[in-house]
Amino acid sequence: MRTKIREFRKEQKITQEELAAMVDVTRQTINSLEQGKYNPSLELAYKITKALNKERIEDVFIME
Amino acid sequence: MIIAKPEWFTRRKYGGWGVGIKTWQGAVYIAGMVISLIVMLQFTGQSTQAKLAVTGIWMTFLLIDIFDVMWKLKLDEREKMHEAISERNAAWGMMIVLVLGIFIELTYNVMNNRVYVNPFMAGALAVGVIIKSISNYKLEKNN
Repeated sequence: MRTKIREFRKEQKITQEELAAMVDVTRQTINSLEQGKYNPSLELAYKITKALNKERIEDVFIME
Repeated sequence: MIIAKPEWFTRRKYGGWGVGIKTWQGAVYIAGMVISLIVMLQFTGQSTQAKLAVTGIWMTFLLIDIFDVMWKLKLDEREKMHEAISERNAAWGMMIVLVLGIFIELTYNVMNNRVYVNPFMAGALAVGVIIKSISNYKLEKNN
C-alpha cells in the first residue's frame, strides 16, 4: 500500500511527531506508514485521514 | 504503594522482557531503589535472615511497581503487532528447547530403567498449552 501521508503532512506543515500525537501512535509508526512498510488498521487509516483534513481514506491510502 | 510512572519507561525490546529506562526520572527511580536496598541492608547487621527478609520485601515492592508500569504502558497497533510476533517466536524457541529437554531426559531415564520427567519442564509445556487454549477461546469469543 502506498500513502500520501508525507505529502499531505508537508502541505499542512505538520511534523511526524505532531501527527503521531494527533492519532495516538508513535513517531516510528508514522514513519513506517510513510515508507509503506506498515499497513494500518481501518481505524488508524480513518484517524489519519481526518487528522490530515481529507475526506476519504482512499485520498490518503492507495492500494497498489 | 506505586511510585514509578509509565512515561519514565519503555517496553524492553532487545535483551529480554520487562521495561527499560526511557527518561532521567526512570534512571533516578532505579538508582533510588538500588540505593535504598543498600542502605536498608546496612541496618540489618550480620543477620542473614534479616538481609533475606529486607531483600524479599524490597523485591516485592519493586515487582509490584514494575508490573504496574508494564500494565499501564501504552502500545500502538504496530507495536502490539511487533510484540505479539516476537513473543510468539520466543514461545516457539522455548517450546522447542523444552520438548528437546524432555525427550533427552526421558530417553536417558528409560535407558536406566526408570520413567521420570522433570515436573517443571512438563509443567511449563502444560501451562503453555492451557494459556494458548484460553487465549484462543477468549479471542474467538471477543473478536
